[in-house]
Amino acid sequence: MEDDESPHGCGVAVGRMMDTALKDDTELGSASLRDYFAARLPDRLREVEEAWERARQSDWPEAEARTFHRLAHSLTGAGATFGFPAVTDAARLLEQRLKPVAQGTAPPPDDAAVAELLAGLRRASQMPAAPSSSTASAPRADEPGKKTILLVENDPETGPSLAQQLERFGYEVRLLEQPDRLGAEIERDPPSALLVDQDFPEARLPGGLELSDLRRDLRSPVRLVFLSDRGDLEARLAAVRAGGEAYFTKPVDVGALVDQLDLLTGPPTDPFRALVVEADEEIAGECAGALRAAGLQVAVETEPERFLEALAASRPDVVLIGLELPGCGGAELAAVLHQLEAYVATPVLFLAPPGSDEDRLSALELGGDELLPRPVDPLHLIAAVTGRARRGRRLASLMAYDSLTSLLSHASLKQQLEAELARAAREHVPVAYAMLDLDGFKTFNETYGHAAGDRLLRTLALFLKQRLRRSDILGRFGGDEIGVILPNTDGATARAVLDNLRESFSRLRHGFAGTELSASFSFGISVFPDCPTPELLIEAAGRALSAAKSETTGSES
Amino acid sequence: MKDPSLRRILFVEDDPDIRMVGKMALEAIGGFSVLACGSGVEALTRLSDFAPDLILLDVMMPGMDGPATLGAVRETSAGRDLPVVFMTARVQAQEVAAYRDMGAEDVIAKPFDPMALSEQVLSVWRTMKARTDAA
Repeated sequence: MEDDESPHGCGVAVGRMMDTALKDDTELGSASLRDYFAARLPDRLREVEEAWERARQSDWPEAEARTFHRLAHSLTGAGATFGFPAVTDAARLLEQRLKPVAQGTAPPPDDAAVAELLAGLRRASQMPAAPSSSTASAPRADEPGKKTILLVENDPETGPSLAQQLERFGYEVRLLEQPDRLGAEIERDPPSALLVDQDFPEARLPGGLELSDLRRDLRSPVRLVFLSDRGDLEARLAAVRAGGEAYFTKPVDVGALVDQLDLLTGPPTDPFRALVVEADEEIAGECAGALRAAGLQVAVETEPERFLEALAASRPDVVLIGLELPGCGGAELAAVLHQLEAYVATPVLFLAPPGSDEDRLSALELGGDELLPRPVDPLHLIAAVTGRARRGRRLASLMAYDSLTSLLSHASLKQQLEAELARAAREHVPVAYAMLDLDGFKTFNETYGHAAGDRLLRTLALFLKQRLRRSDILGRFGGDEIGVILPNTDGATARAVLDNLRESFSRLRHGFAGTELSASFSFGISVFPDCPTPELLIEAAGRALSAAKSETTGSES
Repeated sequence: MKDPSLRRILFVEDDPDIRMVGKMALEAIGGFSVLACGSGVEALTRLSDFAPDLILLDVMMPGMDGPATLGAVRETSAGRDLPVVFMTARVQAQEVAAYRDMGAEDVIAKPFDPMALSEQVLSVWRTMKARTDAA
């Protein structure tokens, strides 16, 4: 921005920026403004990060500290102007931390604190601009848009083979043997993720490209995953510092890699939800702001008597309660919460008045997990809330999901089936239910061992998850049996879809014990309302599956 | 909503994105002729050339901030009596009063709504005119 200080600088800058997104005056609508700023955000973030880099490298001279602070301040305002509240909140945290430093009244912050704040800013920049009006996600189209992976791998064998395997899972892979054209390749057609072989001596990529420069050289935010022969801490650290979000040692477990790529390139997982119950609007606002900046969805309730309504509306992972509430005590509210079946295990954090000592025991006595005395340190708050939310979600998912396949557990699948049937009855639409299992799985297990069998089952689960719609529901019924609920689908369509899947699955090659094998599955289908209850659906699909098995090879089922 | 007596606006804002949007909003919706500058220094060098009817001035800028720029504008012949409107995120009553004491015509709150900015500026302009006409 310094170059804008020249007399004619601003005219040039404005002209250039208008070229980037807003073509003419008619595009001033809020949506195009947001798009414009979303496109500018990577550059703005990089500016902020570079200012930090300059400040810390030169030991925080006053001028650099001021520039860093100004850029954070600027982003606070710009985020608000363009409708990016999370960016504003995150930038404000950074700005507040830097303000006394810029004014020379506080020592420079330590690197870890700044890194944390910048990471928060980066997360915030990836959050959608407008508050989403509906939380229900629309069903994905049957054939999701192809995701591209740019694979940088100079090993003449690993590269093509890995590319081929990823393509089987629906990824489009562009293979680069040398990273010298990497920047240009990314510019030309930005991939969903970058998969880089970190097989380099002394932190250099095989083209002489400094690993640590990689992320900085990227113009758009790309998910970065490293592959390496090395599993040591030094190599892993180098990858983390270069912005790597995942790290795989060779030989690569393709299933795990695809899982990770799906996670990184897929729609963002549901953000954690927090409910803040605090009568003082300012305190509530501060907490909510800090948490939103960290990417959480936050509901605020300033009237304790509306607690139950707020709870139902926000379905929080964590509840923050002010200890000094009018009408009732914070501890009483926590007790009410924990008497509700759905919130028995929901973590509670108390916001305590200033000066109260941070005594974990007293928090526990009051029915909470932690006491946060005001003024609340934003970083501490974020860590306390996200840590508990993550653990809570993980516990819930362990109960709902099968650990081997990551599909729904048997019990959850049945629950979902009931819910889907109730909905279908209301809406007068059909539901198809498919039961499928691997052909010759018993023999396979006996020949190659159960570990290999597990891998094959995981591969099938992953394959189905990827190819089916997001609205379709998959669960592990037991053994190698997988149940699939296809809402709003009739029998003929379900059969066509599964036939297609069976066909492409049987073409996959799986590497086991040094040889390449193929595998196949059979399926049976039943349909609601022909079978009007979950039990009847499951039974009919099971019968159809057995019939399909005996029809084909006559192999054991 | 147009007022033929307000045509040229000098818009001073250090954030390049906000500057771009503010300029476009004032031009496209208000129909004003706008010169956007990235700093107080730049505004001062372009002031007599551009001869604005009004200056829209960001308060918090690096180097020469809004109040300092206002002071320097008042030192020039072109800017001695020019109406200046501050833009700031801090619009509490005592701050607005302090900005008025410095000689600002009024204060527009940030973040601004691009669709409403022109109307806000015009409203300040009309109030000012009504006051001077009455005097």
